[in-house]
Amino acid sequence: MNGVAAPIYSMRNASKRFNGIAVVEGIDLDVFPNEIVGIAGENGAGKSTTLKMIAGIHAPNAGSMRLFGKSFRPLSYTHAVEAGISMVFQEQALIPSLAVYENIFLSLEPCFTSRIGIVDRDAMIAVSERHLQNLGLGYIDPRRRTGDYAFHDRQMIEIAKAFALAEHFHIDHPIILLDEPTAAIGEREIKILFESIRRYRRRASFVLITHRLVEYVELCDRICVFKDGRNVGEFAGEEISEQSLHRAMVGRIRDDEYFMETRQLSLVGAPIAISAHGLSGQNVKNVSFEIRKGEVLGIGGLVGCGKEAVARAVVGFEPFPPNGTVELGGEVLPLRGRGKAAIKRGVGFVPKERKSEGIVPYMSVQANMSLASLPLVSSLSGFLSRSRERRLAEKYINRLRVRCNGPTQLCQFLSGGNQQKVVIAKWLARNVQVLVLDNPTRGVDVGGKQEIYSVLRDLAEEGVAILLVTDDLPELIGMSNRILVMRDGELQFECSAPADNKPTEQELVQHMV
Amino acid sequence: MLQAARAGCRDGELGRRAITIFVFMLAIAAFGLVAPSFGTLANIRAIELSSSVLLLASIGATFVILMGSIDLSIGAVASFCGMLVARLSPDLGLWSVPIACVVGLVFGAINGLVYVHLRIPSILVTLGTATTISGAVLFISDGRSLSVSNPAVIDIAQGALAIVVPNAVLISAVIYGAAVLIGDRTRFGRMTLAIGSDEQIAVLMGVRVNAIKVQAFALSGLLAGLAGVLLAARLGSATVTMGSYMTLDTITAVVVGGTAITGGSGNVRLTIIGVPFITTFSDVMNILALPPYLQTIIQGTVILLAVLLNTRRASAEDVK
Repeated sequence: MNGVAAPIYSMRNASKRFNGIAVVEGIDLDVFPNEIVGIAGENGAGKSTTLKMIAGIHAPNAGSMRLFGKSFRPLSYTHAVEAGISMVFQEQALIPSLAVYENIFLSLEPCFTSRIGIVDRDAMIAVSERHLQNLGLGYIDPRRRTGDYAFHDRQMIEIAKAFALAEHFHIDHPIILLDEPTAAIGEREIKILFESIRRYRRRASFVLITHRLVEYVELCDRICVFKDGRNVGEFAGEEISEQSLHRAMVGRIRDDEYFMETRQLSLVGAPIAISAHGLSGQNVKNVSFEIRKGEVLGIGGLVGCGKEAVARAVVGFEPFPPNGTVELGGEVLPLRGRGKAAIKRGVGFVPKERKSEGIVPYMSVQANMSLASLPLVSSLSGFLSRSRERRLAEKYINRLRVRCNGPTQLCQFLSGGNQQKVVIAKWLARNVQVLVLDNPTRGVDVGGKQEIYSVLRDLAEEGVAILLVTDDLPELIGMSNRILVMRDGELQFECSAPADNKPTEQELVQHMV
Repeated sequence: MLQAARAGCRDGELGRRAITIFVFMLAIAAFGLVAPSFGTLANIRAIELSSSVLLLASIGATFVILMGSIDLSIGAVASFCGMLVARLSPDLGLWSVPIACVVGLVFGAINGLVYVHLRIPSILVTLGTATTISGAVLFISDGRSLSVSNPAVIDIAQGALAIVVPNAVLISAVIYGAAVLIGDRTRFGRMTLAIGSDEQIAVLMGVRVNAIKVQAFALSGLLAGLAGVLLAARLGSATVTMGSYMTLDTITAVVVGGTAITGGSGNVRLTIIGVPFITTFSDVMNILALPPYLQTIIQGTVILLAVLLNTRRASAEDVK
């Protein structure tokens, strides 16, 4: 197929930086007519960013794009749609309370508006109906509320919308971008979706991102593998297999200095700090583990494998698995009010969503740091003591090397890494015995990451038990004493990771997929 | 106000606050020239009294708005409690005052409990209770205005313990001081801000978010009730809708002060900037004898300008 025709879309040497951090560095990508192209890679490899550059949502900082033989520089998503590129968003962009046809032609109403300003609904409905029928979606009534249809049907509506828009802008052969289209649907729906995509390829090209390697193998004609924002491999036809893909995806050289692996403790005979038995619930099946004092236990697995739910269960944060127990220092935490009990007994939690769950941006550094330990900085009168609060903040600003203008600076103005240090300080101020971290270095630059690793090593040396849930494989391997791998809510694999004998990324990945 | 300016400085936003305060000072100087009676003792006293009443109600509103909620029942609660004092004071004398305040607290707590447990947005809960309470005012007064004649009650607002400063001003100053302390240096104060920023933060701290919310609404009700009592004492009578202006004026005062209407940013300390803005302006327009319709038009415009000057308008995020 390719080789014969010229690519209808090509990206050359594209780069994208966010806040000075390179996410994509010199990516090349071609899309041929009637082709299904996959973009594979680990989290943070630059897949989504690349897709968004194609869709005009992010403008590349460098590099060029061509579409249908012409230079292509979309200024916005709308611009890309007009040029023949549509994206099916992971979080769907349809408005549930509108009728299907209204969603399909959202923002294009002027094209169906008569001179006196009345929208010709019948025309919109007729065109929508025709497109739905062409795609074998005749069972979808364009007049019904979009929210009445199941998730996978709505995904089809999005695809129908892509074709409708392409026709509207006189594009014969649109390119449809699929961003993790299967993340939220079941096996049966995935099958329907894939069959449809195969059918539609006569009229369009697709670019697919998914977190399940098997789907690339099943669906794609050609797969480009990205790593750290660069092309590292391309597979077509017979070469495509899950093994070949993850061999190319991982296999980065790990820098043991970076993770200060020599500081990793050996924990023979250290007492158990916290243990979980039979955690079960939605997305989690019978997960048990224990963590010793001074140990870093890492949990890895693909997105959606349930590792975040495990972290949240340990700290008792809803929605937690309703079954199973968490034991701290020989005491079983109650199921109701587990969060409060856990905090009281010295469990700290550094959540994934720093901006919404970690810090209060319009609060000062000192107020954020004292948020979990207000009684400790209160004077006898019961009011918070400014001087105590300030001393506490100064102590942790020094200890964690938080870069800020002082304890009264608003957290809003700190970099991601320093905000994360404030979140960690918040728990250190309470003398935590167990620290649970969910992707603590997400969105943190390289230098900031290393400083956070150093803080974690300090804590381990002080005997704090650390549960590290992370999507970042080198971090998981580099930091952990022991590693658990989860898949589909179950513990799949466990291995120890002593400083002198770390498992490789491949060893872990084979248990993830 | 100086304290407020300093607070602004701490937050690294002295510039904008300074501009607001400067514009305000300039306006006052101009008023003094245009309207000679502006500077008289009697007029200043009138401004002081109306500011005190509005400040009390606005303090309660601030905590609610900081959480990202809103209390639309403040005016109705104030009217009810003012009317209650007028109704009860002939028999009970000064005792009618604490009773009215407790009733305000109960109304506020009901708002909070309904909001939290039935999971109805606070704007709708308080819209509903406001209507109900307004009806209750008519019920206890038979729809008539009542005069407040008990001298002890009138003294609460109009008497002057410290010769020039009316009692109402003293009361609101003390409560303002306490509110600043609560806002800055208690768990309740910190958590209202955290909840407004994102509820999950407070949840992850092991805080019972619902309790904080109910407390904030109860405080708002209590202070609205007290504001209503002072208003009745100041006017010497109670009318069925005398407090209704407060609902929107408190929100305006809070927002002009610089607290975000979406919550999560601001401080009860700042509210004292917004209150005199509203009271002084309407006073001046009265003195100048502007037609009342024109007054309303001007007031709306000035409020918009003040908000423009003094709020943190997010550039990237959605504004709803």
